[in-house]
Amino acid sequence: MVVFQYEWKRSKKSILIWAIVLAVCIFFMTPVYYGLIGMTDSLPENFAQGGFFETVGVSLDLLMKPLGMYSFLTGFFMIAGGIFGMHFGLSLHTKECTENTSEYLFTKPCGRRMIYRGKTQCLLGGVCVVGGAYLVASLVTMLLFKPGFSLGEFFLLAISFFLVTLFFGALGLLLGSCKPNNRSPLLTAGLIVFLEYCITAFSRTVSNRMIGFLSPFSFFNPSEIHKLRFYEWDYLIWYIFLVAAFLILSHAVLMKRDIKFVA
Amino acid sequence: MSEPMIVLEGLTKSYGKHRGIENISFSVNSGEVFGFIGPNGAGKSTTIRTLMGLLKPTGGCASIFGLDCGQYAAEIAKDVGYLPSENCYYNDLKVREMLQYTADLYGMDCNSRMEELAERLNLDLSRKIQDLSLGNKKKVGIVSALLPSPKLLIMDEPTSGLDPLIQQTFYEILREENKRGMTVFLSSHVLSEVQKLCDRVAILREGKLIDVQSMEELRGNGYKKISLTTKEPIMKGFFSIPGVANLKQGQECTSASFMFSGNTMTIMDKLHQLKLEDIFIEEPSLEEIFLHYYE
Repeated sequence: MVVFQYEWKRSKKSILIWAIVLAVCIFFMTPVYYGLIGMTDSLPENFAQGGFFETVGVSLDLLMKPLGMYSFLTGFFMIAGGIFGMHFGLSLHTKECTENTSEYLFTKPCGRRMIYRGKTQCLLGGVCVVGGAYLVASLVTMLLFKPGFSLGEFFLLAISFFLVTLFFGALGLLLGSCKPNNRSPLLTAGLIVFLEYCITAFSRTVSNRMIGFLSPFSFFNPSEIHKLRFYEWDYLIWYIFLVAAFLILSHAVLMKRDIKFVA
Repeated sequence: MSEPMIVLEGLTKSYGKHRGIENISFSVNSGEVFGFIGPNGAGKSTTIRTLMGLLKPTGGCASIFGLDCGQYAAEIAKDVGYLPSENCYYNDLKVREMLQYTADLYGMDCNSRMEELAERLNLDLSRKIQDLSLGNKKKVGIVSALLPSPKLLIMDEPTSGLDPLIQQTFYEILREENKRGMTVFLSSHVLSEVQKLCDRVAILREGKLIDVQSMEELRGNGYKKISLTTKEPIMKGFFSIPGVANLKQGQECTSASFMFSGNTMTIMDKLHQLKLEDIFIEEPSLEEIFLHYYE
């Protein structure tokens, strides 16, 4: 618990900044984008029919519904959430190496297992705070500007933001364990999240679900959530398997590897 | 000073193409102050980091308190204070918070000891780590290592960056702690430091252990430093006798200095053959003995 407390203390500020910024952005952007509903007829033909909205996982029909524009926006906010999660997960490990503090921490009686546990708890806490702030801000803005939507479907969409953030956080923990001397965790996070987003867009464009298994953005398709009133089971099981694998592997790597030092 | 507290048996760590340490074996007894000397890159930090469980050995084994260093690192750390060579701590914390973190990680209440050590080392507890000079960061490391009153203190280059006055205070603290029963294992390339503090010393070169000697053995291994000047030139090869090392002759061959270890009568007979103008026979400094090990 000691490691968690100090990690939390050191990360609290950045977590709060991410949470506040994302919450404020979704709060103000949702009503702005609602202005677009009903204007789909005036959208350029290629834009409306060229499958752009499908690549984000929102059909034109869904876009006209109250939760449509919200899920369209959430698709983009997931990129920001993914970058936050991955950067946070990565830097929990890399900062010990790049700031040369690992020699201090890893020679204390808490041991590697407790260090891993503390850092993972910190990641989960950070993801919960950011995910929670996003959910609350989304709920408030929806209730204020577009009431009368399905609360169950709303929660599925809002929680998918949290789940994507958690996925990238766990992936970040794994990459941070494997390569702790990464001096550019934000750049790494940005590139990987963007790549994953492109994979999802591609899989939706070519209508190949199998490619979608390579990217967490595909696991939470708003159109499918709207149809099924839940997540797609195969994707959900695969998601749980991957997150568990990332956490177990990062633990195993941290327990066995040499602590790296940056000169 | 009886039972071994640290035991290294054929300890090897290699980094692929890069040299690490090779087949290091020695032991440190309980209550001892043990020095670990060698030039930069000799493998001192690699050995210490392997002892602390930070690096996994590629061969041999190391144990502290009879426990394997890799497997029981957390268990061992409960009774070990460690001062790393790098003075890196959490920059966003204040010194007091940083030291409190150390105390919390050991699960101890160390407030009074923290105040006492900080006062002796003249360390301001209210400043942020990022605002500290190199020397003050080193003090944070020293207080952090001594804070839990460990049975064993392991230090890697402990005085680098400290001013001479604080160094003296640090030596005093170490002597006091050693009297109370703390075992000390320190690495250094400052030989005077080792000379002042240590009972025994291990000499490391290019990743290999050269020798382990007590300070008395090291100084009393028969080496004498002889410097002389003569009225007539000394013949070439005059000092080519067993026991002479590091021979240096002046350009005009009327002066020479060398280290000698062997039968005193042999060198006295040799010196008797010269028309001596002046002569100094003195105990060599540890630096000179140490240099001899590298040649």
